[in-house]
Amino acid sequence: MGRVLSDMAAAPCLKVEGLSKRFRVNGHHISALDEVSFEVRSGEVLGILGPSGCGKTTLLNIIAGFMPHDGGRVLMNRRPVTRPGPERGVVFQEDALFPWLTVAENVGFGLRNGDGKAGRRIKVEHMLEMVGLEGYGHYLPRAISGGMKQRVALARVLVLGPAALLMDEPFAALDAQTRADMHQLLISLQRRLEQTVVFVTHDLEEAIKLADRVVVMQKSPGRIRRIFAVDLPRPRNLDSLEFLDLKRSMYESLCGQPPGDSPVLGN
Amino acid sequence: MTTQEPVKSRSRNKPVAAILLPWLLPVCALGLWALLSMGGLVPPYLLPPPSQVLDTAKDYIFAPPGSGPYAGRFAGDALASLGRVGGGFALAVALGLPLGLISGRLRFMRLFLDTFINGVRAVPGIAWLPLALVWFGIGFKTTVFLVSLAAFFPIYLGAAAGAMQINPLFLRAGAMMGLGRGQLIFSVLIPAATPHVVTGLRLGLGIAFAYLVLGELTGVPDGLGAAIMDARMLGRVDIIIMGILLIAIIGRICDLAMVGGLKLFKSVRRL
Repeated sequence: MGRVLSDMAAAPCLKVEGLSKRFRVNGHHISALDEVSFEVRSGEVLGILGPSGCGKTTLLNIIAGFMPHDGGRVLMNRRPVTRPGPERGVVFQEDALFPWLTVAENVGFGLRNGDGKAGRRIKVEHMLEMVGLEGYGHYLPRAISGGMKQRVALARVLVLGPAALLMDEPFAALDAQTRADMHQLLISLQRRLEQTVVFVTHDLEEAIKLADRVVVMQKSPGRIRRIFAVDLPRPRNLDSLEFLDLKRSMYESLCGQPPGDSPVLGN
Repeated sequence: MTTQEPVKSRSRNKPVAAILLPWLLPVCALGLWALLSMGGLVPPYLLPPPSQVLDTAKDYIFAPPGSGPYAGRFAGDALASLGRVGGGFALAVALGLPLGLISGRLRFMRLFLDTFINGVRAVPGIAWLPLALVWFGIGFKTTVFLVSLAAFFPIYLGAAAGAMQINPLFLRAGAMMGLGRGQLIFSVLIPAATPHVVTGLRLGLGIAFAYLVLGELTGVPDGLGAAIMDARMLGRVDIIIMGILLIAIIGRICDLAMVGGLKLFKSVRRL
């Protein structure tokens, strides 16, 4: 019994196999994704890191079911992904809360049928508490800050109990302090719910801080350059030697040269 | 600090200003009218004084029917007119709203519909009058046809603009949370498009009243437009002015009632 359970925990929850995607721009075909393959285990946090234009957002959009692909396949719990669904909750980069609904109504939006009104309210209140927004249920999105909006965005998908949480640079638009708070929140929620997470970022530190493994991508064509395992104990110390070593080798993989030669990236 | 002050003072002044300001212009217009007519600048057969129009209105609204040519006709005329506006406007909403939303979301529908609809839109409504008279005769059907034709365009354009300009992430978010196509339309697309849709409905209702009068000028026996037209033949300028004022008042009340009714929807209240 115990063996079966541990096998299940290690089983890939999400599988991307030989995924390809081309875009037509001014009559030219651009290969946004070329033969991209990886697996995400249940309960794992996978970071996808790459320069802008490497197809990482396209990759996430295909996994979410928002976009068709040209080759390969995406399997979610062994079933091919063809359309968006609540088992793959998405947190978008920009604010995509419904402005005509209150915070509580936004969080309860996906809980349409079943549960009953009272059941839904309990779930929503519990979820708001988990993301640290108790007492803000009756606010409209325009009345709360950017960080709080992303908390609501997180709550409205986690309340549906998704098999995987997909996030597209969800904290990129936040200030440094708020971003750090959101990292802490995400880490604690991920542990509590044993949530499988796939997130896209262009921020090296964010990738190493949050992820169990980091997929580093390159652009034109969008391919996987290398997959790093982040075997650092949590909570992770951003100044530790191991952290800095990993950051350096990831940087080299990302840019194809040691840090210092190129002025951009890495913050 | 500097930005807080004006906001604060504006909100403190709001109640008084909000009550008085809407009436300032009507009161000024009334004053000008009284001045022109009673000061002898314009003869009364062209512009009767407000007091005379008020007496006429009392007679038109409250006097027992039959005691004068226009006595007590108001209820019947208003009901007839409201029926025509209501029928035409409902038809325009039933066609314009779905077609607008569809063409705002689907490119091929936009390509399919836009040339035709904008071509028809370029024809002034009054140009349809002779054709409508031939097709539908004088009366209810012609008026409803003209009203719905005229009200259709702003409603269609408002819905199309609203649907086109919504944040595409809203639809993705809705689909990601498990909504099907139909649910997406009612729970995401329409609420998100609301501000433009409401603007289209209000413009449509306004123009519906304009075309109501046009339709009624053609010789129908009842209705506010008919009363105005009869009055011109009889040289009753007081009735004409009263009719114009009544149409303005009824139109404004209908607009307020519609906006108030729409406020039952969260998206209208909150966006």
